[in-house]
Formats: sequence, structure tokens, C-alpha cells
Amino acid sequence: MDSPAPKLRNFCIIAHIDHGKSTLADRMLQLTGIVNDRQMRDQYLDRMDLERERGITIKSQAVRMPWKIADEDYVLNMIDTPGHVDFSYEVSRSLAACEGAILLVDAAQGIEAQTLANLYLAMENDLEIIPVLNKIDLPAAQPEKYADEIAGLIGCDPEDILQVSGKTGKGVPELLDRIVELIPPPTGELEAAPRAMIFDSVYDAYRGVITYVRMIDGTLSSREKIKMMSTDAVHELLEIGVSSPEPTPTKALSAGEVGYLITGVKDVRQSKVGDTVTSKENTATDSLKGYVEPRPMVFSGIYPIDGGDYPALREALDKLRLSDAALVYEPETSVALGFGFRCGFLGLLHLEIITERLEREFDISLIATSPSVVYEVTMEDGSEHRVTNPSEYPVGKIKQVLEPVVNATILSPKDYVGTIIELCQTRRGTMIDMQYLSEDRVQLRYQLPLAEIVFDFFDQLKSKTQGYASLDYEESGLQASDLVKVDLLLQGEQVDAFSAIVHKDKAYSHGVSVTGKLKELIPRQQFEVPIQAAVGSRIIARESVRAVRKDVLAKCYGGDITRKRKLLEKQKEGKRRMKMVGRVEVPQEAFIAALGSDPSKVDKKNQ
Amino acid sequence: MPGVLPQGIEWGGSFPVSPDAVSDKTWHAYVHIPFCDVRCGYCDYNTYTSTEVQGVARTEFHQPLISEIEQSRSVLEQAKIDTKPFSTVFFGGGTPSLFSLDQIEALLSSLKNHYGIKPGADMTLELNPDSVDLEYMQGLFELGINRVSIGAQSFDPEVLRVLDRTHDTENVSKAVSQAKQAGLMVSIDLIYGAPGETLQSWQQTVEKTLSLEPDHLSAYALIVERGTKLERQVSKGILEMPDEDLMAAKYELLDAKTKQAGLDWYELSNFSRSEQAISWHNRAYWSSNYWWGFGPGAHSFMGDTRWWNKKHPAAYSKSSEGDLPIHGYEKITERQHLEERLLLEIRMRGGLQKSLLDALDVKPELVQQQLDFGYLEELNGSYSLTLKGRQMADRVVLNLLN
Repeated sequence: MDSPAPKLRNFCIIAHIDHGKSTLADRMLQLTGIVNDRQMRDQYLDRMDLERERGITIKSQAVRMPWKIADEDYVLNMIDTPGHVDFSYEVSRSLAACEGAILLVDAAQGIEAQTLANLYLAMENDLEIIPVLNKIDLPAAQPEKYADEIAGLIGCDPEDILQVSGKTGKGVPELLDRIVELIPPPTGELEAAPRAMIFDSVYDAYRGVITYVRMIDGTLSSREKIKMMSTDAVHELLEIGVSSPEPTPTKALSAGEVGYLITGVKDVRQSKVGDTVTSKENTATDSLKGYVEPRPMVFSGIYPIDGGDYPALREALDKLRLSDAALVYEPETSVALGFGFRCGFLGLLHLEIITERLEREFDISLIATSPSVVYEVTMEDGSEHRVTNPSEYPVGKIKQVLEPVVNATILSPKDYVGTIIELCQTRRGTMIDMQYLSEDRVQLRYQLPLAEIVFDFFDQLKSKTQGYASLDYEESGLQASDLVKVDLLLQGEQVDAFSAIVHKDKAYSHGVSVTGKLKELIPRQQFEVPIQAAVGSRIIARESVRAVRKDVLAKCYGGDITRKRKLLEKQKEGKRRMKMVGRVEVPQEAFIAALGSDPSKVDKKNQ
Repeated sequence: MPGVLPQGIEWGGSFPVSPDAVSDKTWHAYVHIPFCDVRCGYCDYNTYTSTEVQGVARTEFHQPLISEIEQSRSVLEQAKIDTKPFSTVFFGGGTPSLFSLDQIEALLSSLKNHYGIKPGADMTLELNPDSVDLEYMQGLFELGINRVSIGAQSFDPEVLRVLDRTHDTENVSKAVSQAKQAGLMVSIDLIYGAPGETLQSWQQTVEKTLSLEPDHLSAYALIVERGTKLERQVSKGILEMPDEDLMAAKYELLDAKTKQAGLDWYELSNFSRSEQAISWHNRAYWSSNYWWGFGPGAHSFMGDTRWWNKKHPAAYSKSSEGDLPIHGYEKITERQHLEERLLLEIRMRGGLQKSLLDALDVKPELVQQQLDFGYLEELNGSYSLTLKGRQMADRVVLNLLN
């Protein structure tokens, strides 16, 4: 089949966080001349402050770059993909928009688990893979070693692996040449009814939703009415164009091309990633494969510290929702925390990003309860419950509980294999297989309950392997498990926000650990505070925070007064960040820290 | 005074207090003498152990202090602020007893000439038991000093070692009897809660102290101040700070023993044998009266302004030649002043007047809560700390302002 656009190349970059993808993209922008030195800033394509600070690309974008080989003009569309496991669906859609992928690997670190997962995804989609070792300017780079590893994985010759430095620009022109040579031009029917796949949808405060699409068939032109095939919703097309890298309007987009659409809608839910866009007049009959509704995997209760901030929190969530189709929430009431929202997230990073944005962009002090997964509970009487909040775990005779499991891939130097196996076993993991990628690197695959991963599995894995191991996981259905709810009581009163669902065999150790941690986290109050863990009415662990007996600075003379007043002002502020649970003041961090398992993360109250 | 100066407004030259500040407040003088023979590991006060700090000799240091006294007088006159004679004078440090009698005399004459000192004023000098003798005490008495404050800290040699105190405990007894012989009232300073101090050790210290029959006793729970050697030792784990329950037990023991010996608390760390023996100078701070602190790093308070001098003795002496050696100042708002009054007045036995609580808009249920916790009790129409409450004074303040 002839290509509708023989001079076009659509590609993406598969890389792990920190392996230098954004820096390489920066060099490409400069070399192809679409961003000049004066306009250049680091990580040009990463829009949000949060992304730039964390060095993570959350939102993907497409950039159109010209490149010339032997007097022939080509157009390269680079689709920037997110690099985190939480956003794997977005990754899969960006891959589906390309014909080729650059596999970018840090020459000092080797391939990581997420990269591997995305690489396999790209290979399944028949993408042409161009392997590249980056950061060859680093003294610690070992290009030969990692070239062998990559060659083993994708079955190429180690000699063919390009060596570049995104920092200095070395090897980047050769890479651009190779993209033109190796990646096939797009296929598709130019004359067919238009079909475009949405691979990203971004909310912009001034322009509304900007939808990034890959045209598969036909042509969409400006001023045309478009139709979303999953909902049949029709929108006016206000603007159509390409990014180079700033938005540049065009008359039309045709099969093979990558660009953006603006329709004036204000909510990314009306323009969902994976959906197919067609024309209202010339409607396609079949939508493109692969559309999936985003499904939250992890839930957490988000509460304002100050109850008066509840309306502001609602407004903030409503606003964030416009730019984040995966965020779901509904009002929830907690006996301990008052009014808040049960929020669903794609994963832990997603949760962290949202809470951080709420605090930073909307200036609301929050408590996020410990993350939970979704349990399917069937009672003896046949009734079924979907539990996203441990405190709503049903009471009565339970017949069966299903919990979500994932297939996890862990890559690590071989020295840590024993430690990793031990960690996975304590997390109720079942080994699927283990294989050597090279002489000293091992890939372990495990089936693990998602609930065991959501607290601090990643932190534990990192700390137990000195940061060398990497992790990726994908959903793998549900399994029946023997689970119980462990409640926590402060002064004899159950605190719903501290309830957790754990495996029966771990209930006791969980109770001991949580009561012990709360003992450290809850400052001494003016009365003794008993802390108990219970399964049903049975107390399984207890601790107590003794009453405070001394809280006074003994000395206060003329030179101490200013300092003392300033201290008082600071303490008043600190008190505001405490949540009253009954009569007990509980610090904000206790709500998540108490249920994590890393003792080093518990802030000692006396520090 | 603490070693670290507060963040304030930079001193710009013109005196920031208005003539309206003159009121019925009494007027007090603090003189800071920033020299010690040895620096103690827990101390963050502004003091120096050499006899000469960047060209400023200890034996000449009364000169810059006198300059400040003279400067202050003329600045107040220019600002048309009338002052009264001083009701109290306090020589603190450092170790003021490292000054010769001549130096003390020169300072007192300057204060008298420029401001006047009320007859019967409380006039105190802090001293180190190692650096004095009977002759020195008699000299002080003749100059009008009527009280010495002796830094005993502890009678347990092990505790003194941890605190880096070099004096011989025998010298404390000697200094007390010499002071009494010279006709001076005696106050003894103690510190409790040093790492390693047991309840028994503290009991012996208290009993030994009371057996010397002082007129006044100040006892402070040790504070680990930032930047001190003690802080480094504690943060490195070389020394371990005692449990707060043990601290509380020590305070209760102190309270019982002093009561038996006829000393009553009048501020939560201060005990006195009689009305006369109360430290009227320190009381001035807690009652928000006005004072001028002369000397490096010293704080002063007047009207709505608190200011503090340059900290280093060399910088201080240099600038006191032509102008006031002030480093910075702050303006205290009406609300801040009320909160300061709350945190100061609660410390005294007379407690909190209802009018102050009303001015602060403290909710009656919050006061009731403190009564219920047993922290406060109502006495003669005001609220005073109970024994339990004295240990919790800072918390009570925070609770009331909730």
C-alpha cells in the first residue's frame, strides 16, 4: 500500500525517568531549527512546573520538525510519551500513533523495568525500534556493556546501536538521519472517511481542551464539524494545526499526520484519550481499536484540614478534573475527618501529583488517607459490595473477597535477587519467572496483590537495592484472598480513617506496627491516649501515649520575650495543622505515615 | 540573654519611641557584662572568655557601657521622653563579678548621674563563686548593691562536669556566708535536668542549697539551646536528655522542699523567702514595665518598641562612641502586646486578670477547660497556675489562644 505521506516519519521516545529524554528532545528542537538558542529553555516540552521540578513528563505532546537528507525534505513528528507506570494507558496510545520508537537508554545505568515494559509494548505494535545509548559523555558510561544487553533484548547487532549525548548534542544528527532511513512512512487511506486517534488531551486555561490526534485515514479540515465516536458528541472545530513546537494553525490534517484540534470544550472528558474522531458529514463506520475508559486503581480520602475549606476543595477538584480525565471523586464523610472526597487515581504517583497540585495551586491544607484498592466482597446472603474505603467494609458473614492483583516486572543487578525475593514473599507475591538479561542483570516477574504495592513497595524495593532495582506492573485481574479489616481506636473510639484491610495472617503484625507508629506520631496530649488495634471486637494490639507533664520554658527574661512570642506564633500555626479526632490532636502526616511500613519515614514527634 | 538576636527592623538612626510612651510604668536598668573565664557547654548567652576581645580589654569595658548610658540620656532628652529614676539595677552576664569594684562604681555613678536610682532600689549583681572574696562582697555592699545572685547550678560534681562548670561546690557555701556577712541578700541559681542527673542527685542539690538558707532561689529546667556544645553532644547521641516525666518529678520535689524551707514560688522558676527578697528587677520584665538594657546584645523595652544592641563587644564598643549601639528593633502591635502579657503574666503567682483575658477575647469555655484539666485555679478574681499547671504554662497559653 502506498503511503499517504511518504516524507513523514512518526516516532516516539521510550525511556526511563532520568535517562535524558527531555534533554535529547531539546537538542532535536535546536538542531532542526524550530527552536532557536534564544528561545531555548531546559526541558522545553515539559509544560507544567511540577513536571519540570520532578523531571517527569506527565503530559505527552507532539512536535513537528523539518529534516533534510540529500536535498530531500522530510517531516519528523516526535510524540513525547509519559514515563511512569501510572500512565501506561497514555503510553500505549502514543505508541499506537507512531511507526517507530527510539529506545533511549542511559549508558551509565542500563535499561529499567518500565522501559522494558514499554519496549515490549512497542514491539507488539510492530514499531521499528531504534536503540540508542545516551549520556555517553558521562565518565561512568559503559556503552559496550549496555549495548550487549540491549542487543540481547531486541535481537540486533551491538555495533548498530547509536551512541549519543543529549547534553552535548553528539550523535544527534546521525540519529535524525536514521529515523528517516529506518522508520517507515505512515500507512492509511487518504480518500476514506476521516478517522483520527486521540493520543492526548490537555486542558489550557485560555483555549479550553487541546486534543492531540494522529490522523489514520482521510482528512479533517478547519471549520468542519467533528464527531467523537465513543459518545457521538458533535463539536465545532475552532482550530486545527500542528505543534512546531508552539501551536501553528493549518487548513487541514490528513492521513498519517499528527496535530491538534481545538473545539472550545472545557472538559477533557469530552475528548478522551483513545477515542476516535471523525467528521459529522463524512462519518466513518468503525472506530479505531484500543479505546479504554481510564479506570482508577487506587483510592484515597482527601479531606481539608480546616472544615471551612470544603467548598474550596470541591471547586479545586472540579477544576483539576477538567485537565485530568482519570481523576474521579465523590463526596464522602468520615467520622474522624469530617467532610471530604473519596478520590480514585491511576496509581500512587497520580495521587501524589493531585494532592500536591491541590495544596500548591489552590492553597488548601489537606489530609490524604492511606491509599486503598478496590475489593469485591460477596456476602453469605449473596449480596455484593464494591469497597473502595476500608471503613465501608461490610460487617456480617462474608463468603468471598476478591482483590486486584498485578503482574510486576523487576529488573535488578543479580546481587539483590535474594533480597527482592524476600520482599516479594512478605508481600504475598508468587514468582512467575526469573531470567538473566545479561551476566549480572536479572528480570524477576511476580504476581502481587495491588494492595501490597500501593503503600511503599517501591520505596522498599529502592532502599533494599540501593536504588538499583526498577519496577513496572500491569493489572492482572482479581484473586480471592483471606482478608480482614483492622480497625484503630483512639481513646476507645474507632477512627475510620485509620482502618485497613489486610491479609488475615498479617493482621496482628499490622496492628502492632500501626499502634507503635501512632505512638510515635501522636504528640503527648494533656491526657493519656490509649491506642488500640482491633479485628471486629477483638483487640489485637495496644499502646498508649502518656499524658504530657511538662510544657514550659523555664527561663523568661527581658531578652527572651521577643523570641518567646515568635515561638508562640509558630506554635499557633503548628496547631492549625493538627486535626482534632475527638479530643485528640493528630498531626497531618500520621494519616498516611501510620499505615506505611518504613520506620525511617516516621517523623519522631520530638525532632 | 540568648545569644541569637531576633529578626527585626534594621536600626536607622532616629529613635523610634514617641514621647507618648511615658506612663505610669516603672523604669529599670540592666547592665550586661559579656565576659566569663570559661564558657559552659549549655550556655548560649552573649559572653566571651578572653580578657580582651578584638582590642577591647575587659578591664576597660565599663567605658563603652558608660558611653551608652550617656548616649541614651541625650537621645531620650532629644525625643522629649521623660524618665524616672531607676527602680532596679541588675548587673548580668557573663560574669559581672569579673569587673573590679572600681568598674562597678563607675557604672553606678553614671546611672545615678544621668537617671538617678530610687532609694531602696533592688540592686543585684550576678557572681561566680570562684571569682569573689569577702572584701569584694563588702565593697559591693558599700556601693549600694543589696543582692548577689550566685550561680551554683548543682552540688553534684558529675552534673557540674556535664555542664562544664568549673567551680568547687565548697566555694558556693563560702560565697553565701561571705555575702551574708557583708549584709547582702543571697539568691542561688540552680539548673536541673542535666543529662545523667538522677532524682536523688537533684534532691541532694536542693537540700544542700536550702541548708545554706538563701533569701531567694531560681531553678531552671535545662534548655538545650541551638548552637551550644550541649546541643551538639545531644544531637550526636553523646549525651541523652532526660525524660520529661523525670523533669516534672524534679519540679514537684523542688516545690515541696522549698515550701518546707519557707520559700514560696512567685514566678514558676523563682522562689522567695519574703516580699522584699523577690527579684523586683525580673518582675519588671514579667509586668511589662520599661527597661533599658545597656551592653552588647542587651534588649530594651519602652512603649510599643523593643530594641536590641549589637551583639559583639567590639562592634558594640565601636558604635557606642558616637551613637546608640542598637542593632535592630521591633514595633509591637496592640494584639502582640496582649499576647506577650498573657505569656508573661501567667508565669506569676498573681496569675491572669480577667480584664486581660477579655481584652484577648479568650473564650470562657477555653478558660474552663484549663480549670478542668487542673492547670489553672481561680484565686481572688484571677486565674493562677496550679502546681501541675506551672509545668504546662506554655501549653496553657497556646490553649487559651486557640
